[in-house]
Amino acid sequence: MTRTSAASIVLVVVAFAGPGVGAYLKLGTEVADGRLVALRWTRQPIRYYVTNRDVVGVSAPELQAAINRAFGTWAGVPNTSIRFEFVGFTNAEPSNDGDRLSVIGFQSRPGPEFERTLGATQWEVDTMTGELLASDIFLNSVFDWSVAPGGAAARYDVESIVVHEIGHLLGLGHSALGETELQSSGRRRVLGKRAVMFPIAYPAGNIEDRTLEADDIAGATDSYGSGGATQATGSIAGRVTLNGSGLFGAHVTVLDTATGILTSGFALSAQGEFVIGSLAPGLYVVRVEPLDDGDKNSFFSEDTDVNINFKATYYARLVEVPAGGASGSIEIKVQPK
Amino acid sequence: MIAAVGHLPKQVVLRAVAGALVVLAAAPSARAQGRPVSGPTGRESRLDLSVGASWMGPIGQGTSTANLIAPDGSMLTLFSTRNRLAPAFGVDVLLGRALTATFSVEAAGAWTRGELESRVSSDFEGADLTIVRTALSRFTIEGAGAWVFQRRERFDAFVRGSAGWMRELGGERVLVDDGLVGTVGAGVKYWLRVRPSGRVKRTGVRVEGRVVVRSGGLSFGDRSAGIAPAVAGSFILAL
Repeated sequence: MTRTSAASIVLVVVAFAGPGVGAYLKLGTEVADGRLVALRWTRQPIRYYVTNRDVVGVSAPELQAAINRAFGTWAGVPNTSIRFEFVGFTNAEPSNDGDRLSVIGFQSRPGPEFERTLGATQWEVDTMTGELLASDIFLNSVFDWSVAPGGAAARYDVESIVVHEIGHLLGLGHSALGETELQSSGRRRVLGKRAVMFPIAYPAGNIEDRTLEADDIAGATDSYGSGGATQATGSIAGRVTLNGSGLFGAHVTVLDTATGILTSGFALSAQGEFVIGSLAPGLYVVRVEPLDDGDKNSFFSEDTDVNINFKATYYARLVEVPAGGASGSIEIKVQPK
Repeated sequence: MIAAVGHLPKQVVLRAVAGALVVLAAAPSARAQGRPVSGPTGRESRLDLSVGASWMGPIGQGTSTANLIAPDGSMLTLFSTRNRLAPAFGVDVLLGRALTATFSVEAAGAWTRGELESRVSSDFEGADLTIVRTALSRFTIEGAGAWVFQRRERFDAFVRGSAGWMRELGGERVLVDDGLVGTVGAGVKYWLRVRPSGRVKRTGVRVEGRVVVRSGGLSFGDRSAGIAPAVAGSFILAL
């Protein structure tokens, strides 16, 4: 099942953000003076309400408890300033209606548009500053849900899906750190992934996404990291090119050879520039692959041209990441398929 | 007789004095030597300065695997790497001081240039097998002890052990890490020229094999310790 967000218009803006923007897909918007700014909460704690409706298998208090755990997962990211506060239960709908309230809860959204959507996130944004004012998360009650500690067969895990949606609430876009296969139904099945923010969920019953992966943590740290995080980590910057031209949308994955930790990002400019930050100092293997394991529209807008006709390629050198600094700029030249 | 000595030419007197000094200097050493160790008069210098080159073999650094998590909780390999410190070449400088006829202490410094190397394979999408590298510079400062266990006409055979500190820098000079290094080994010195007088008493060459034990420094994770073979050759000036 895909988890589309209601952020496609915002994603367009981020897609054309210039160099210097971190390669994690951060949601952004164009503000009054024409600048592109990443969506970000500047006032914390982020106050949220939970709908007081039960669904089969999940009572409102159980829903609130699962949501609380999911928020706690993001609040626990080291060296970041992310804080949340549960305000109370509400009868309001988890649909953005300009009420300046952040509401999370179940809502039935049948029909073809949402037939594969487990949940989605919407935002209220100050168009003058890009500041996030409120955000709603809906969980599609068309599906079967569970809050069982170990998960329940054939039921989607509330906490896992909410952890993903809270990532969007914080302003993070999707990660492409996963592999899928296309099924005869036209749907994609996850073969493996290493990011909660991957756009396709594990099958029902799985609770793996309750735990953030390094890629998610790097994204959160990139947006909400403290000064200490900046000094303790470094970044890799460079370009991806095909026949000398920048390759927008190329998926860049880096492996910390010391720990096996994977982090990824995208080339986010017409010149193919990328920056992957919040990396532990060390030696990295850098790999580039086409964005072919998910619906392109899960990452970029429909009118964005993303070339996926090239071979997965490794950068020829090990890349050194220093603490508090950046690797020298690298160029990864890929070959067409 | 006294009058006769007083009439010896000056040059002859100076040679005689020089010879006496050499004999006197050699006497304690000769007494200290064990039976297998013997050598010609005039070899007992106190300081050896060696300058040469070294080669250190590869050190395995284990593997790293880029794993994705499959729905059933198992690992799906995106790609894997086999890592090592590639063979390295360097320059050695040693200053040795003889404490006895058979035992000397040495201060050694070395600069070595090699590579950190990662062999990438098993790519999920079939990318070509690739070897990615970065340069590595290593500076070491060591203290050593060497014992000569066999002495022939022009050969000294010795065993040696050392321990010291090292600093390693990545090729882009952005990563710096320190560690410890130690060696055990054996080798020979071959004296090309022996002079009873002059500032440089002997010149020769030195060849030795070592086993290098390394801990810390730049590495692929917690596989920082490792053992490697090494060989070194140098030119010696014995002062």
